[in-house]
Amino acid sequence: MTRVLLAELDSNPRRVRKSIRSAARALCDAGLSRSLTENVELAVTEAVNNVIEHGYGGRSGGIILIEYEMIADTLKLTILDQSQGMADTHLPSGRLPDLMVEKSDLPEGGYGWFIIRSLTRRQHYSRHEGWNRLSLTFDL
Amino acid sequence: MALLSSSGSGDFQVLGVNTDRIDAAIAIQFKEDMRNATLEGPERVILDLSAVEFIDSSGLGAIVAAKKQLVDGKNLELAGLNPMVEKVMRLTRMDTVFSLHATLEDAIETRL
Repeated sequence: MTRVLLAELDSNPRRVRKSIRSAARALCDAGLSRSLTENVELAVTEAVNNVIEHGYGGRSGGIILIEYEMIADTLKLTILDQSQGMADTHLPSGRLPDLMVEKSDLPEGGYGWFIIRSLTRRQHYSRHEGWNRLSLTFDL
Repeated sequence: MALLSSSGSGDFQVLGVNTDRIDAAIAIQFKEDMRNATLEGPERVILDLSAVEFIDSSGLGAIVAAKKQLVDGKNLELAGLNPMVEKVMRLTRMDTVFSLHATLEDAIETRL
């Protein structure tokens, strides 16, 4: 099966909500379980948030595409963008921040990649001809 | 509409969240509103999340930040977690950081 365009987004935190929700709903209508649809919406939201914040520096007007592909018993979602890309192509480890600390030391960030890794079987980043591609594979 | 509505008796303050999402788009405002809403009042603060259907890591961070902002002696409990919100909380082990109550009634009836 080839990759199918699911949604085209503008890098604006408010506007992406609706687009990602619609994309997830489309997959749900196509038969994805409710639980998996939630996981997809959450993982894609985390990935898109990273693109907006770290890729496009919080600026609107950046293009983000979401494509999907069903391969055997997995669903692969690819988030594409044209921002500067990751300096280090190694994906963040996504280890859960240490919570057994004093209240004042509780981390407010670092949960995003942990959430992505927890919800997906595999993640892969590549960059080609000005496009960043992050693919997330979910077990069906 | 304001993000939070405040109510409660002398023993506790209930902060009702009026949005269905706590995410990147409103995390900063949420943190600010929480700080303003908890400057005064009782030590026990219960965040009623019954209207919230979705939180992401930004929303999670904002709730953690809200807890950190509380004046010493105050504590923040979470109530009314819908399935997706509870999923995120348990996945990130936030149940070790916050008391989680299925409903607001449960929270109010619990004496810590």
